Amino acid sequence: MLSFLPPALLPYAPILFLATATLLLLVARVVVKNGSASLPMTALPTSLIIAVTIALVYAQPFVNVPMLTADAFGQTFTLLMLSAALCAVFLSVAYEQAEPTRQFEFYILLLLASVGMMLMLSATDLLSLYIGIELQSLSLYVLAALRRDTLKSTEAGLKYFVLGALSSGLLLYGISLVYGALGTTDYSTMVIASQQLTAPSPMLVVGIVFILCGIAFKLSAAPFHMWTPDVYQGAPTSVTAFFAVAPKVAAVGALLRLLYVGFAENADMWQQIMIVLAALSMLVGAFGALRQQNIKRLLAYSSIGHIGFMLMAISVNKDAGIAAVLFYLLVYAVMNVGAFGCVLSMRKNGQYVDSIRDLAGVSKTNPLFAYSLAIFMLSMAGIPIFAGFLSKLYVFQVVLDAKLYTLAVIGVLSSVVAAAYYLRVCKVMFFDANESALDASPCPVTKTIVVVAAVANTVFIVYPAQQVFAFCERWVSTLQ
Amino acid sequence: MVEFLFYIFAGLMVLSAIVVVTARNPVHSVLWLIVAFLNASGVFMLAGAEFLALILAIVYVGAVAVLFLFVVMMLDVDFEQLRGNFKKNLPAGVALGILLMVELVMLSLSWRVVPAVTTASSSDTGVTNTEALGRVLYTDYIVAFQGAGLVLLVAMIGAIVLTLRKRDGVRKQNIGVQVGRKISETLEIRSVKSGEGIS
Repeated sequence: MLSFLPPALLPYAPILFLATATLLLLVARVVVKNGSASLPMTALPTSLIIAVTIALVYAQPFVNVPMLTADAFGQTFTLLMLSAALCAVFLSVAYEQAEPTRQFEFYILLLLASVGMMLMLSATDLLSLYIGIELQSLSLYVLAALRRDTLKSTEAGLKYFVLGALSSGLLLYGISLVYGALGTTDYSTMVIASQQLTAPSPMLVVGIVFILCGIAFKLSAAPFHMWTPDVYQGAPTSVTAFFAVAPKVAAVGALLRLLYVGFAENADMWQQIMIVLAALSMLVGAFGALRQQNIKRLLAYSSIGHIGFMLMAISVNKDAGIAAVLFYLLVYAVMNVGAFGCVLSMRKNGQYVDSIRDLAGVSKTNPLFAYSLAIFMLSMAGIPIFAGFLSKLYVFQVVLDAKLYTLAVIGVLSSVVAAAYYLRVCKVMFFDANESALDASPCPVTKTIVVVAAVANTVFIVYPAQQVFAFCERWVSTLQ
Repeated sequence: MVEFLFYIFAGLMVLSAIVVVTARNPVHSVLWLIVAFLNASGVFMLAGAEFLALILAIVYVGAVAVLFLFVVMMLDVDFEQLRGNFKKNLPAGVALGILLMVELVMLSLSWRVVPAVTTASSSDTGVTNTEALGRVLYTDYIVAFQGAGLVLLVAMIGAIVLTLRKRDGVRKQNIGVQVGRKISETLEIRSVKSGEGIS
């Protein structure tokens, strides 16, 4: 398939293709000035480019090249991330058609962010990790501020940019300290250098702390979560749908590789940090969302809580922990794609709405929408028979096996609190008096994605749960 | 000799950094910042990092400091008002400074690096910094190099997306019209009698 490429370029094929195709699309759109019919002209090639990249990643041979690796672990993560990006493109079409912002730049920046996330997921060097993170976040800052005429979007972009720049600074400073202590930025060499350390090096500890703070910002883990609700709310909803899944997948993948490969010898240093981040994120996710009136803010706090659960599994520092993270991440991706599909079909009189009050009584007027959103909410709350229950159960089992009882208790308590606000959304939809119906969703693509995700969440426990479970365990064994 | 030069550069750098903070006129602050940068560049030069020294002079003095100067002169920032809170924030600032100092001292007392790191040095290989960087920049670090290029592209796209807007009622230069003007449309020759002027 890729035999026309010189062998030296073969490992870079997917990333090269994605970057080159994006640049060609950029040039093509500048040359072809056809303003009126621009949406199909950009959404279609964008989804094609991502689809071809998915095929290339799938066909990629496994090799290590300087600063990057192509292994099965990264491959699976990249496939998941690109699929999430593809879903975001599909979900965005109806929204962008109804509220044209700057459609063309939206897709270009989404593609460039995907390049950054691919770099993050295959980075085996702190430098390529940093470049990937920077490429991704710089695109995301602009995406958040894309609707420049509205105050909220501008505020979101500015807030995200200022805090993100600070976190990049922390990350870079941490990298330089680690380089100072170990003399290398390459993951495998870092492990060897850590073994040679005769006494504990404070410089290394400080460096690891800074790096993890920087990544926690990107993961929106508490106490570095301040930007999340504002950015989720202020950014155009199509952008938020992209924010919620793909960047989280990329950050978790990069974090796993960094901790379990790069800092494999320094587990005692990062384990406590992970525990604190996990406990705080779960609590903030649970208590922060209680009073939210806006569904996007609610989902922002919910994602902070979910990140807390994943960090809790990461802090176990065992293979079982990684498997639980992967399982959780898969379920999280499906739940959030579906939930944002629902948010993207909330329209009243042709206007997009995002307040929870607008959902009052929709179970009678839009039953399909109401039941799908209810499934996602119950699944996120971790109510049995839905997929979210299994993923939470798996995490708790792993954490209890590792004897981290305090953390587990915090997790259980915060998921009880969190259930309150998920159930409130259901209550508003099913029991409150009807004010006005939502518009019938005109977009078949959004509808299909929502229904497929809802069905997948419901039947998950019967059919693919066992297979996904086995798949995650195989997936872990590919991390070297 | 090198030691003597080091103390001159380092001393001047600290002095000019103090002036940056204390100068009343913000333009003077920026100019003193440039002096500090140049002295830092001198220190790098003494350490044998000539590439870093020149980059510091070119990028920081040539671009960043000039940008600062533009910001200071173009934006209407009331520096006196900013300075008004100085006394109020002084205790917190001093406390933070002491904390940082203690941390630095603690770190430097327990400073440990991998033995292999301390012996590595670039000065004994016989190539200049620039050559050594050039050897790895396009080979081992090609991914990071190209990635950095993409980051700059995103910055460019972002700046254009966020600032480019089409507004009505703006007087724009239309070069075609401007060049196409004829003498007959724009110039009129009149003979003016002295002491009367043109009505």
